[in-house]
Amino acid sequence: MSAVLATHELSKAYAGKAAVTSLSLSVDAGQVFGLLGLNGSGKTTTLAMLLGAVVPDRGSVRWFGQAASARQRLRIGALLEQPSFYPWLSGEANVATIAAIKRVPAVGVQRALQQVGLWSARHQLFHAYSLGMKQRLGIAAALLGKPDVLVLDEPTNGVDAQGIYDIRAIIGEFAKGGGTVILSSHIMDEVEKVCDHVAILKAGSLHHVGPTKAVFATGGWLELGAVDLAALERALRKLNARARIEPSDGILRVYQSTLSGAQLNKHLLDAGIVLHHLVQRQPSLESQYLALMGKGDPT
Amino acid sequence: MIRLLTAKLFGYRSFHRFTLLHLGLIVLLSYAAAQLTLNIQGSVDQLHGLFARPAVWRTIVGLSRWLLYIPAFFVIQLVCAEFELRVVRAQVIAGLERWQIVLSWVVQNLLLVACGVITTIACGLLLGYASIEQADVGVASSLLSLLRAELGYLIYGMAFLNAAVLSGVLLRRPVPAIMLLVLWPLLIEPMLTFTLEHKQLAAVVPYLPFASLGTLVTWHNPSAAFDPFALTTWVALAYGLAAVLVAGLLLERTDL
Repeated sequence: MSAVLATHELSKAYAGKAAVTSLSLSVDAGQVFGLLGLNGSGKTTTLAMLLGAVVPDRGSVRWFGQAASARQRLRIGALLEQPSFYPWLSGEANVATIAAIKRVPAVGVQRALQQVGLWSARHQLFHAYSLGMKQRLGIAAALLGKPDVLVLDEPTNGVDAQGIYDIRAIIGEFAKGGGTVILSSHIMDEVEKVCDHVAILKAGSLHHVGPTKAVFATGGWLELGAVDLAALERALRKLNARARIEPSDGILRVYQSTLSGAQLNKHLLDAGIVLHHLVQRQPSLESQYLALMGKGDPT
Repeated sequence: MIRLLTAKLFGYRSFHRFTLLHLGLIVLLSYAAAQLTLNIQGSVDQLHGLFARPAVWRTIVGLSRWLLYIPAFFVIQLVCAEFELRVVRAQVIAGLERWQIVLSWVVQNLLLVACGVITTIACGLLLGYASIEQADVGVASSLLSLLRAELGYLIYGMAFLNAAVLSGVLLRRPVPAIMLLVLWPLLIEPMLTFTLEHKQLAAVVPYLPFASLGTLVTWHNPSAAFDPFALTTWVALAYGLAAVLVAGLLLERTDL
């Protein structure tokens, strides 16, 4: 697959404080790429540099194999932080101004507004829109002219449950059509449901990058229960010397087991121990993420 | 860029309302005043004279200038929204070059000035004084110098507003920037001119940005009254160009 976006050693500092340091990333066509990080980790600064809103101190950005420029941005639909439009223009007129920049005909404005469910509210002034409506309008502007890439910074911010569902559906549909999505989010559930690749930023530096499943494949434990817990623990230590075993509410938790649940069950049965509880547990994406960021244990 | 400007200006319902209100009020007030003075012809010849050609042009321009506060509401609304960095950012992200944004500000301001002037001329024509004769032109040596009052006010107001908002935004300190820009023409320049002797005054005043712009507003041709002011149009233009260049350079390096 060809790289839609490539950054090389991208760096930015504000008043001497590094916001992003030597960030090199590559996003292939058709990927749904999640940018994750705690507050202040440099996600928005990174997206702003990719989109030409912030001037990098060092490094380069290449879109579609060429140095980033306004011409390339015409092929990108983007929403950075809160949507910003003329407060005294209607929703439709605001999208029309962006359509004028992107050279999209009027019918495209109608299609985009209908796609986000704002067609009936098109005559309302932007300042009278609710937070969720503003967010939808921002996404409508981003969808104008069927862009090749969607760059969305926390797209479900302030949107109600129905809106979140709709926005995820729009992203999914866009990706299904072969489009590339670059998405920053705090919501791990969103990343899990939407992104196939992920990059984690920590204090402005790239901490992890790769397929979502591979990045979050850490952790996991087995829960085992038997009538005689002491005998079970002895047998487990014999079978799995390196595993960490912890008692918890009448069961045993086995971390870093080299044997699978089925293998353990077979060996324990051979040793005369009948299990009444055997469950494979996976830590939540959120706890794995926090563990990756050094903010907690994946369990 | 032109598509963006037209999409924006056509989208502004307040632009249409304020322009129509401005135009309508000039026509209505002029017509009412003309009817009134015609009815009391003879008793108040002076008033009647205001609505007889060629003096009517001067009256229309004066009325139009006085009524400029109506579209001023819209202009303030537009310019303040224009210099909201987040809006600029949205346009840059959408694919506009930064220099195109500066250029669109300039064109937009020129368009608004043109709107004011066209409104004034249209009012004169609407009132039934469609043909401009030599006598009309003779009112203030030329029609252009007659319109200068309105043009001057517009340029002064727009330049001040743009400079104030732009400085506030680019310096990211709106309150001190706007205060400085208010204090400069109201306090610093007048105080400077107050302390100077007549000879020095003549040498310095044309080069003060707001004093030079201010002379554009004057009704009479200032060059006749005070020779150094003949420079002011060019000085004002030079300041305007410098301001556009500085804004362009600053915006090019500003993080949005």
